[in-house]
Amino acid sequence: MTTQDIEQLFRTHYTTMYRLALTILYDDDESKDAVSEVFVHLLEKEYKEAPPLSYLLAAVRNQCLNMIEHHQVHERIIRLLSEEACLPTPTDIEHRLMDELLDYNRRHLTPLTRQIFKMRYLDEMKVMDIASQLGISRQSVHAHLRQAIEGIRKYYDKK
Amino acid sequence: MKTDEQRIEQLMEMQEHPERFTEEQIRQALALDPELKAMMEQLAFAKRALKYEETQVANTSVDKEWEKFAAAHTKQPRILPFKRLSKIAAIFIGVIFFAGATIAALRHTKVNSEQQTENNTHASDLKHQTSSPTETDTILSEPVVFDNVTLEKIVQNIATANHVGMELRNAKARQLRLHFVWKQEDSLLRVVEKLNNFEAVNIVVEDDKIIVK
Repeated sequence: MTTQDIEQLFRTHYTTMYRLALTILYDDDESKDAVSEVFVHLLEKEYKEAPPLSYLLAAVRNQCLNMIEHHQVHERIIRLLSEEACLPTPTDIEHRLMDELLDYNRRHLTPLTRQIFKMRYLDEMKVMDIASQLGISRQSVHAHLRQAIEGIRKYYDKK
Repeated sequence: MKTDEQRIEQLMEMQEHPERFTEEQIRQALALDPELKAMMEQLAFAKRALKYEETQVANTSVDKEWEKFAAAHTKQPRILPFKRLSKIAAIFIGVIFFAGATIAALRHTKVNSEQQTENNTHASDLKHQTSSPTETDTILSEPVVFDNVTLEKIVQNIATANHVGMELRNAKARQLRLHFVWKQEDSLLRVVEKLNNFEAVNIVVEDDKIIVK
C-alpha cells in the first residue's frame, strides 16, 4: 500500500475507529494515540491490499486493551477501564447491546439517577462535587448511584 | 457470603476512596469475588454505552488528524489540500469584503455627517447600512458525522439544532441506521432533502415539525 492508499483509508475510517477507541479508553488523546498506532503499524508492515474496516476495528480494540493493561488497578477500577467489558464482538452487535442497555436504563431509572450516574462515571466527578453542583446531600447522590448500579445488575440478571 | 448490596458498597468505596486500598488489595478483592468483578465489568459496559451515545454526535476533524499523522509518520511533502486552499481563499475574500465594507461605511459616515445638519433621519439609515455586512457574515461549523446512527437520533439532533419539534410516524424508519454527514450551515429544508435521498426515508417539514413518514 502506498502512502496515498493509507491516507485514503485514514480519511474513510478514522472517525469510526476513533469512536470505538473512545468507548474503551474514554480519553480523547489516548484514543487518538490508539488509532494512530494502528496506522503506524499499517505503514510499517507494508500491506499489499487495504485491510477491511473489521480488521481495523479489531486492531483498534487490541491496541486499546494493550493500553488498559498499562494502567494501574486503582485507575482501572475508578475509571471503569475493563478488558473483559471489551470482548471482540462485531461493532454492530455491540452497538445493539449498548442501545438495549441504554433503553433499559431510560425506562427503569429516573432522569436524576441517570444524570448522577453520568456525572459520576462518564464525567468522572467525585460524589462530593456532584452533591454540591446539584445542591443535594452526598447521601442522596450515593443513594442514586446505588440505584443505578442495582438497575444495571437487574438488566443483566434478566438477560 | 456477600450480598449484592454489600458488593455495591464495596465497589463504590473502592472507586470513591482508592487511597484506602493498595493495588494488591483491589486485585485480590476482584480475584476472590467473581460477582464483584462481574459487577465492575457490567458497570464498565454501561459506561461504554453512555460514551458510545455521546460520541455519536462528536466532531473530529479528520483533515487535521491526517495532517498531524502525516507530519509525524510519513515522508511525503506536505501539500495543502485543495479544501484548505479554498478555505484560505474564502478567508481572504472575507477580509477584503469586510475591509471594503468598512471603508464604504466610513465614507458614508463622512458624507452623512456633513448632511446631518440638513437631515437627521440619515443617521438611522447609516447605522443599518454599516452593520449589515457583519450581520450577514456567517461562521461555517464543522460537519457532524453520524456513523451507523439511527434515523431517530439523527432527526432528533437536527430538530434540536433548528429549534423545531419532531414526530416519528414510521416505526420501521426510526430504527434505520445511516451514515450521514450533516453540514450545519445547510438550511433545514436542504438537510431534509439530503436525508430523503436515502431509500426508505420519507421526511417532511410541516408546522415547525420534522415528520418522519
